[in-house]
Amino acid sequence: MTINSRNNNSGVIILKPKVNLSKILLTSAGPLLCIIGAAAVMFGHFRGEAGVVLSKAIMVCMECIGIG
Amino acid sequence: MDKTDKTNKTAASPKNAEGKKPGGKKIPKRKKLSEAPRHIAQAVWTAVTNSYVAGFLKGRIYQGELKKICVPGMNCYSCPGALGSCPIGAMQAVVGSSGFKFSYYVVGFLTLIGALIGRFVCGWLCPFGLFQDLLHKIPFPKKIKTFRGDKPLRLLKYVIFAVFVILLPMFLTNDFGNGSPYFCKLICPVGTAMAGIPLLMLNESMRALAGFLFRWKLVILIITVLLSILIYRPFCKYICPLGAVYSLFNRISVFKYRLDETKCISCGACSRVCKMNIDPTKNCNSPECIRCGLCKKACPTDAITYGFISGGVKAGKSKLVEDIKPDKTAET
Repeated sequence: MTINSRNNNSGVIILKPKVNLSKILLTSAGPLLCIIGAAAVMFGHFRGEAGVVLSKAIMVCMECIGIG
Repeated sequence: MDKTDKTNKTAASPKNAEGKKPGGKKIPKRKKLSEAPRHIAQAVWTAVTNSYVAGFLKGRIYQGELKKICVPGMNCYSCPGALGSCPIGAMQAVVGSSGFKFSYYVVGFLTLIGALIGRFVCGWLCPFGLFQDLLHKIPFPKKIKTFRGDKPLRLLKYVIFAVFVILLPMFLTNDFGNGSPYFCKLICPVGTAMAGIPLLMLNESMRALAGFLFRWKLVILIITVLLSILIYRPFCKYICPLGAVYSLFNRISVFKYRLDETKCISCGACSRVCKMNIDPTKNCNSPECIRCGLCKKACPTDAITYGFISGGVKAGKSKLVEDIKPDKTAET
């Protein structure tokens, strides 16, 4: 919330509270994405992606070590 | 390559360290900068995530259930001690499999970690980051701080992520619809250092299989090692696809840096100590920031703080740089 001051015709300064949308987006995007990320991890786990990762990770990755 | 790295033992320059700025703000005493706590944290994390000792003794890898969980940093899952999976390797395994063409599991993990702490992972939780940090401590007459083409070259990591981690494993498949992990196969020096060399040393049958590809990867590793002595973290700056992903979250992550412009005296101490060549006064959550914390330590007026969302070291007093700038243009 920032204060934005403006002159009107009578010369009186009016202080208007201004909602800073970019600040709200910046501060809320992080927690929101954390929740989305956690949900995606669970969804991926339940559809069997974790099994694919496990099956690859428990074998020596020939490509990683430069053989395959 | 035109500029050299001058090692900063102290934060503020001698000229203004104890004196006053033209604006009249008094600068406190110079601070000593120590990276020991960070290196200890990096070493502890590396030891914990690579604590399968039997693997190192017998020349084999851990095969338990924990391997399905990704670790946040670049940590090859074929390292004999690795307890978890490398997210980049896991991503290529899933998108390159015939069953899935998108990985919610790995993308979700990267989103969760990135949105939580951003590139804090690079600075504090990556074993290969520690490796490069230690290599850069090797004395050399002319360390290179920056060079012509440094900034455009940093975009290369995004290209590598898109091409070698996503597109090639997804579309360049065999008859069964399976793609190879092309980044691991053709580029990644982490696999050579953490898995290839230890496994080949411990396992004679594997040693017999090593051919051109291993020599190619060894050359990449040697180049990375030599460059790491000259340049601070060349792999992280130009190549690392994991750093590329986390960098996208730096600005919005829950954990972030803040600059209190009312305290900042523009002495330049923070940008001088930054080894990633960032000016925190312009953007303290730059995509290139690995959140090592040197700028915070260097700041003579404690204008830089960090913390979670509304937290920070001095909560409530510091503002986001992005929030302060629009106020300057407000009509009066």
